[in-house]
Amino acid sequence: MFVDTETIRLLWPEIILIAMASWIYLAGAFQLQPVWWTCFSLAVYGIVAYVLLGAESSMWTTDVTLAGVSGPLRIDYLGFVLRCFAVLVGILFTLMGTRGSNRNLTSEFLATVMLLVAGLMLVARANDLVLLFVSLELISIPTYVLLYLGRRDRVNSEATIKYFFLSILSSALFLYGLSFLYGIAGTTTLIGVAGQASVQSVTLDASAVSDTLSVAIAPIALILLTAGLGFKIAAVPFHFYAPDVYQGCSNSNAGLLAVAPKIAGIVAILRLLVVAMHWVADIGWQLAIVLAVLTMTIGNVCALWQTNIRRLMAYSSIAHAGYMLIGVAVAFAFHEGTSANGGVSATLFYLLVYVCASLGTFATLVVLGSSEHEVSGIDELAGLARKRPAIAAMMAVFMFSLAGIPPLAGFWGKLTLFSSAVNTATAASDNASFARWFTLLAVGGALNAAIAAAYYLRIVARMYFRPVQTDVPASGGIGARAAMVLCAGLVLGLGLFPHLAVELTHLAERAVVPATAVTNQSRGVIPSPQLAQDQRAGD
Amino acid sequence: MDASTLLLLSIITPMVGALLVAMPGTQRFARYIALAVTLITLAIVTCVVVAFPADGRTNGTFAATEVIWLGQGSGFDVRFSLALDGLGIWLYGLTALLMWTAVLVSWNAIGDRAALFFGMLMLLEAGCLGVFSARDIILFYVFFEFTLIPLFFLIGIWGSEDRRYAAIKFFLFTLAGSVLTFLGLLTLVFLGAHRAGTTGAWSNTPDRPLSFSIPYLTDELQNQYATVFESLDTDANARLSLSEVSAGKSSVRARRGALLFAKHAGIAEPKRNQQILQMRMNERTFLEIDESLEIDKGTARQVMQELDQTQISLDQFKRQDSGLRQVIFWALFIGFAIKVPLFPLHTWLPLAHVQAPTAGSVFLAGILLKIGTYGFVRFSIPMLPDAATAAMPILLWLAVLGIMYGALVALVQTDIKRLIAYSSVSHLGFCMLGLFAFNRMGLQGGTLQMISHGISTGALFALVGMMYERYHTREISQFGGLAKRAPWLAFLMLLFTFSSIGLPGLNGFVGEFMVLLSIFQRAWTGTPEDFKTSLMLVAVLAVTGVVLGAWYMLSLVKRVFFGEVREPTHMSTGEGTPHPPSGDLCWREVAALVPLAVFVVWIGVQPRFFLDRMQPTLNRVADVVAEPWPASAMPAAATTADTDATALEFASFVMPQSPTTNAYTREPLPRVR
Repeated sequence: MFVDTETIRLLWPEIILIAMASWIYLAGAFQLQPVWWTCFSLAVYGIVAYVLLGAESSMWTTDVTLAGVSGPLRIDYLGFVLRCFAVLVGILFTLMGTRGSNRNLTSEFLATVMLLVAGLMLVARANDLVLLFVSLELISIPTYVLLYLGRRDRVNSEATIKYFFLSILSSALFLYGLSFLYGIAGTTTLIGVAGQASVQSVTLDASAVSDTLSVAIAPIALILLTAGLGFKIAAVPFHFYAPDVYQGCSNSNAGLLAVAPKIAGIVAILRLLVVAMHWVADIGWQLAIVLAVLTMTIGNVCALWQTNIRRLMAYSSIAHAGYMLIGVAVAFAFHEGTSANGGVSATLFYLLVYVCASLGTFATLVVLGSSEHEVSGIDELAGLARKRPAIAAMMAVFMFSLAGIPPLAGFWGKLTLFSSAVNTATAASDNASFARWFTLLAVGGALNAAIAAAYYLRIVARMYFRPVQTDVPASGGIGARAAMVLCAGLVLGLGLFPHLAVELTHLAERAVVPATAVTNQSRGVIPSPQLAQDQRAGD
Repeated sequence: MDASTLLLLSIITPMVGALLVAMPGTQRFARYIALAVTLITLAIVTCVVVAFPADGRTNGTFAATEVIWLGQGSGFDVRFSLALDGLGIWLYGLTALLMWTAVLVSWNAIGDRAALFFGMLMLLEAGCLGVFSARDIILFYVFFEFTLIPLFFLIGIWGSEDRRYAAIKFFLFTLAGSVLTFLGLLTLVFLGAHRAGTTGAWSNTPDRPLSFSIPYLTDELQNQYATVFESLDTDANARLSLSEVSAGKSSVRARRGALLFAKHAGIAEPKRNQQILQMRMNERTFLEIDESLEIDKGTARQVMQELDQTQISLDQFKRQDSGLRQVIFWALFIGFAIKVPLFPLHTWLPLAHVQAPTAGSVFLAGILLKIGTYGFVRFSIPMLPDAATAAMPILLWLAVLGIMYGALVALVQTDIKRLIAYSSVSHLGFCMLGLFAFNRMGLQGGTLQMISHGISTGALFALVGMMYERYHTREISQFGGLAKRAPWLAFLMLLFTFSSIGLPGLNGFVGEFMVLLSIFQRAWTGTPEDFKTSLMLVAVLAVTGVVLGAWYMLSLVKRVFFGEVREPTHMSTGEGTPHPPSGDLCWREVAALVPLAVFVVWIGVQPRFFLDRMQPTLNRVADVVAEPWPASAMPAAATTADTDATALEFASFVMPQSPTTNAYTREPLPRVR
């Protein structure tokens, strides 16, 4: 892994974040004012955003399908979009976490979030299995710390320990899967994985003389990697930790858990499984469909009976992981020779709207609580509309968006996902089983949307239809308020002007899944992973 | 200002009003703001309706707005596209009219959180106005679903005792249906966009974004229907068409067949699509489009060669397609049928109606139920004519069962509001019956019946609300002889009851009569032998529905308004109502109902004014499905022309009109034999 100056130049935003995080750790011992540090880290995010946009936005003005490799990094539009997104998430976390339970630890909290954001940014552009693993760990390890920083009681400790051990286990599974992958591909770069293995599988298809072992272990690699990443996005059956852990930790940390690992997991799934390991797509789409249907259904059905709001949101986040897997299945199916696509774009867009609405919900919960009291029962929200109509209205906006009711952002997320699934189903009408599976997936998704509405509505009904039962303090601080308003603005804005983000994700998809292979070749950039695949499909 | 701007303004104005009452400081004036906004909207809507061409020929461009929403860069082509045609125009007008009633009946009834109430009411109005003018599937669905949110709050916050359950049941029931409808609509879009290529495979065309335009898809899908089920019902016919064209003959039928076949062979595709896209703005009948499309001899020969070389089998293609169309039809059916509500899916309706506040009931009965029937006429019938045809007997039976069931259950109700709610189930059955009779009169009658039902049932719910405000009960047994105490209330109740049961001269009669006529015509003369008995039974049972309707409504009026005076003891003043009214209606309450009464009489005595404006649009729909069964299956004796003429003569006898042309087609009437 040779690093040259060019690579370092491309890594400036991440380097700034990590350096500033270290500085905050160090200086936090001397300056205890939380407000000071909040402003400082917001300024850092501002600088990072400036550097990011200044350095890279010019690269994509001409052609978004450009892609390049520098050291262990893959430079493409998808990475750029995701890094901007990571900075936004960092800002939201910072705002939400300003009023932590322990004022003395604010600087540590902010610095750790900064490391986590750096990890997210690295995952978005990793082109190397080792870098991918390391950056995923750069997300996991700060998460352990953050969970401990949140509260210090037995419940929280239990939640943290639970998360810690299961996370370690999933990392181990992931690493194990990577070793198989290395065995098959003989290289650690993602592009190499895509290229090498496809060559191998092509030769295997032609004459079964070559190494049969690598083909036999390909599904093992896929399943182990799916297990590792499935933990991150809380997909069934790797979801068991989520309800307990969310319930045990503070509202802002639950928000973090619902969002950060999910972004990293989805991005890694798209980069590693869908794009690089396209040669196992025939197993991949089946696996993704089964996981998607199970995850959606179990998440939604279990959420129906929850009375603790963090537990409810945990099941809701599981269900949303299932929706995103619809897009993953569609993206896998692209490699299976159907000409339809839209899966990657739909997944990314859904991720965006999910993050806005979910973080907004947790920010609202933070606003409603105080440093002494965390809002946790659904009953505590009863009558909120009467006492605090503005907060209740925003909560209702988040709930309706999560339920996918137009004209909010969540509806467009469902539209893109379902239309990509229906597209695949109808596009493959000559392949009956394929069409049937994707129809099933679309119908499953639609029915789940109706089930999900039941528990989101329950929260809205509590807030609007019931008299006040307990008084919530609603002193979560100005930061959380700002995060809540920002999220509500995003949800409403994306609902009314969805094209802003849909076009972005569509272009990001084009960067990794080109519409035609020829254009990429003629531009003389790195060979696309699909190239070999498309040629094979063309034969 | 032109009609497009006005249409846009009429949808935006209530939204602005809703924002206005959400502002702090305006809480106390909420109802005045709502009234002002309602009046402004009503004025705008009146201007739009007046500007609507009197003969109803809009070419799809009346009040059209088209702005790209999700554009090229996203792979979708979703547009913010609005326009009005004959199907939507009166429902659009009715929405603004009922809003006036809804605001006035809530004037004193709503004390608690009035600003939120009126805000939600205005959002509901905006959503309903949008539904009937949307010309893009996604935009339609956005408005369609959006109406759920305000009504959910209206029922859940200001409803009666069981309101929370009713609100959630209403929302979930409707949502569960509409998500499947959504999938159906999406599949329609892909069906419309992707069908090309040689052997019935789908092809993806990334250079052409996915169009969600309703006129475009209607044309496209009707063409597909025509291809597979009409012109090219056999390979031999396809070849015949092609050989005719290549030999220089150019009958419309031959050209259409050749062209559509060429499309499926993947030869004439690009040219055709370009033309269709250009024509999107000026909607025409699909026949006209086909006439305007040219296929030259060279292309026809090329197609012939292609055909010989590849041995395309239309049969395979046909089977596959019709199966998919059936599935889509039933997916759309679920959502629309729940909304209507059609017989076995109606269980949410009485609950929601009884629990909703008066304004909510007025809107629910008047407008929201019509979205379901509207959906059938807008999507299911014209876009999937073959599947609709196949489902027709089932739907007719469901409709007639709804008529009977609604009427019988209404007979035994003890709660006035619940009785009227069940009468809605019965009346909406009549609408469905007319729409699925698949002839011109049926579609017109069904659509007119939607309007009539909206007016009369909306008014009845408003009147029940006024009674409830006075006495805090809706039990029929508690009342008696109210006509002596409240003559205005009794008069209006009687008027709208007569309108509801279809007294000639009032609005209910016209629609109901046309519906019955159309179903009799369909059953006796337009049906092959194996369906005949079944459809005859449907027609006869529908008539008993009319009788039952008169029975339950008149006995209600008799028990409540006539006989010995019996007033319920005044209970506590309801919570949040500062000045419970007493005695007869006040001027405000009368004012709320007068406009509706005017329309009751107007539609009753001059239905042509209303029918003329919706004819062309509905006739186009009717003509697609006018002959649902192949001619070979029909009894030889009765030709459609004959029966149509007979029925229309009968209609012309009843309706006021000039003796030489009939009211529906403006064609010269055949002589009476």
